Amino acid sequence: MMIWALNVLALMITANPAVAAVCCGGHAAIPALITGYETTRLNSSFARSTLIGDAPAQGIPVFRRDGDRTSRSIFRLSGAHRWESEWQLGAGVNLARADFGDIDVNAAHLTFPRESILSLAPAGYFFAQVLIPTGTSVYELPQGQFSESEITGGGFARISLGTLWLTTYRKWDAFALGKAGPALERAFDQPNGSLRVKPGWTGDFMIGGGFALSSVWRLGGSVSAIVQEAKRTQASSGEWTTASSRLVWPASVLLTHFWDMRSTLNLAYEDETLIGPVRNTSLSRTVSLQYSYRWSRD
Amino acid sequence: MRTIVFAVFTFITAAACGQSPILHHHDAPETPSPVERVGSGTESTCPIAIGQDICATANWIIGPVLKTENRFRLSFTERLSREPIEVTSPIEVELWMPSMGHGSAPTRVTPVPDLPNTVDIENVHFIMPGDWEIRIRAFGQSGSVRLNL
Repeated sequence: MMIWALNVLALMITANPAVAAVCCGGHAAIPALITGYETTRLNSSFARSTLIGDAPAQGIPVFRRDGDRTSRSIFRLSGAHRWESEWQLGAGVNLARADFGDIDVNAAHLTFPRESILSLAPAGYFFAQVLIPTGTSVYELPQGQFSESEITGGGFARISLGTLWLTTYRKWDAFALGKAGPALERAFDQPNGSLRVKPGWTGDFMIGGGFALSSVWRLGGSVSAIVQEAKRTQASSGEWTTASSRLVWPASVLLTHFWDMRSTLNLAYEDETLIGPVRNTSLSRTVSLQYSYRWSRD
Repeated sequence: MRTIVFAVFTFITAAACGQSPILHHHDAPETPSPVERVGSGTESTCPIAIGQDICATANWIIGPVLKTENRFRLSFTERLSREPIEVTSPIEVELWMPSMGHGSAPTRVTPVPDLPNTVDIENVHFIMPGDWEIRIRAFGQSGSVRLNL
């Protein structure tokens, strides 16, 4: 039961479909972390995301007409390897429209291991994540491509530091994850000159939990808050302008099935239209299916 | 079971109290809202103020709508006399989403035969719904018009 519960937590963290948002490159990825007993894990997921509406910087959101609801499929590969009991490395990449999205790489350390599964005291991880902007951002759409569904990346390198805390109690589990960090300033070549953008800081905060329905099924859920500092842009004229900050609250439910001791199937639904307030963001609904495979040290 | 009911109830309460988008939203209209002019001028006297002395008038030929190429015609006049001003220097038109910090580019500026104060702006693409600003640089000065799509 203990192994089951800890493995479930690992799946719960990495099966979040938040990376699949349609517009503007999606969210910063939740890091691929091993929180169970395995040494290596690989995840592949398929997500179908539909952009339902748009929240302005001020005022209430506007839900799109059916014909304007952009949908997109995203395939994501991620994995992690633990080479000591405390240290691990992970990475992930999105693929959309036969194009690479952004790549994320993370290193994590189990700083506070659990002393006992009978205790509620959580395990605590600290991690650093680097997001490499290999996708196509809204600033880099090729000439003749004018659809938001062409956007596969955020456009900026981002460095984040974060922490994950998780615990189990009988059939229950719970976790809290937080990460924050700045994105690096970057200049983009535009038809009418160079555009310099200072993207600012982003913070992701997530809490969630789950319940073992049986020995092979688990139902879980989570709520996130994503806060993004307002971008500053400098046009070729030299004038700096400030955009608006962004706030969105993705909520998700996750059904997990343990195929066997090595492989797991997750079905997740994430909705950004349930919790507010939201500001200056697109609002998506995403369904994803993920398959995970684990290797353990014998 | 009681815990699950409690969790669901808490979630619904949080959604209701926090201005849940699904409970507090507008549906997009069937037709785009009319162009809202911004700048120092008023629509009747100076639809788009280009600096202090010049006015521009924008008339849509196609659009404005999403997901297709739009086109509009831009005419320049002196602000006080209302006399046409011949376009002798390059005109730049930029599409920008001020709240998002990005835009759509490039537009194409084409002179209109027999109308020396008028240009057609082509290759106008609004890639997503929201607040857009059309920024115009002409005669060494600038102005803008805002629209919501």
